[in-house]
Amino acid sequence: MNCTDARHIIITDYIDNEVDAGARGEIELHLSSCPACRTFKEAVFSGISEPLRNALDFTPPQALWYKVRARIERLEEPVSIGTIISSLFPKWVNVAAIASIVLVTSLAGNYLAHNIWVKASQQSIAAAAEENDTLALGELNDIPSDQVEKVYSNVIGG
Amino acid sequence: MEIGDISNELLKSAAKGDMDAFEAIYRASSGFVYNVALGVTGSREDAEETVGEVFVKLFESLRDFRFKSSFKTWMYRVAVNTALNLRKKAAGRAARHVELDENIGMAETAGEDNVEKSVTDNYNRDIVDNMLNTLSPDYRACIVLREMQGLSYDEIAKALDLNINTVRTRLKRAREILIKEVLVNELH
Repeated sequence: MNCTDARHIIITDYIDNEVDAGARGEIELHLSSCPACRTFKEAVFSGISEPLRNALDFTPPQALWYKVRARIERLEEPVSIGTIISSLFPKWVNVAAIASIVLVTSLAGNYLAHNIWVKASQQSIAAAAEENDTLALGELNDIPSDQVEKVYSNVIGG
Repeated sequence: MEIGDISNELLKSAAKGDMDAFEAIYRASSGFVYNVALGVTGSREDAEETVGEVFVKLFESLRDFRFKSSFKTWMYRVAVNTALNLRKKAAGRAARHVELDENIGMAETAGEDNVEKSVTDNYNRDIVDNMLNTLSPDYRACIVLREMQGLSYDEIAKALDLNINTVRTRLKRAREILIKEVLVNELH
């Protein structure tokens, strides 16, 4: 076995215990007669594998479980249409809310303006009619006194 | 209990909505998920986010889970892929390192001996983080699963959906990069 083949196996299957007994024997035979490959093997073991294999494992923070459980409990809650819309179109929810407010305000304004206009029209018609009645009665003053009774009987039907 | 000890009965109970069973699964496997994510992303925040994502996915998948397939392999795959996705998303952001000075759930320390041990552990962890930072996310995932979590080539291949020769090649290239770094650092 030459050094290139030996190093290829050392840096993969040999270091990872994935090599069979026959290949391991060949590698060890080569290492016994090749100082350069022995140095290479030592560098791989002590420079890479040992620090990584001895690195401390961390424990997740205790509070993380409570966050996970809260997320899961939210999943089990019944979903409203608003939630579905906001999850599907998160960017458009604010725009839709503002547009809805503008639309409702505009419709309410139109309704109020219409009502005010109708009421004002009715009042002006009533005022005009009243004025006409007053004028009609006032005109009686210009009628000669002997004719008044005749006019009354024509207008009122008396 | 560890990830390999989780029984089908426990998984079935959790699938029926038994929150105690789900918590037991979390306690047994969250350490693995957290450490893989920490190794792949190099960020405490991303590791926590990975744990959250993985266990929400697990909860959603349990009802449809095929118990014939290995839960452990499913967990390896989802944990690594979620961490890799977060790592790739974060690639544009400034590199962040594990804040080792903060309490991130390490074994509680009390007394001077433990403080000294903690400082040494942090130093070792710094060396490991510097090593991992020289690798691309794909090489990093292979190295973390093999060297830090002790998975076999076959388990790594299944977790990353690769063939064994690709796993072997990635490990070889990752180690060649690391060896160069070690030699350069020794020369300085």
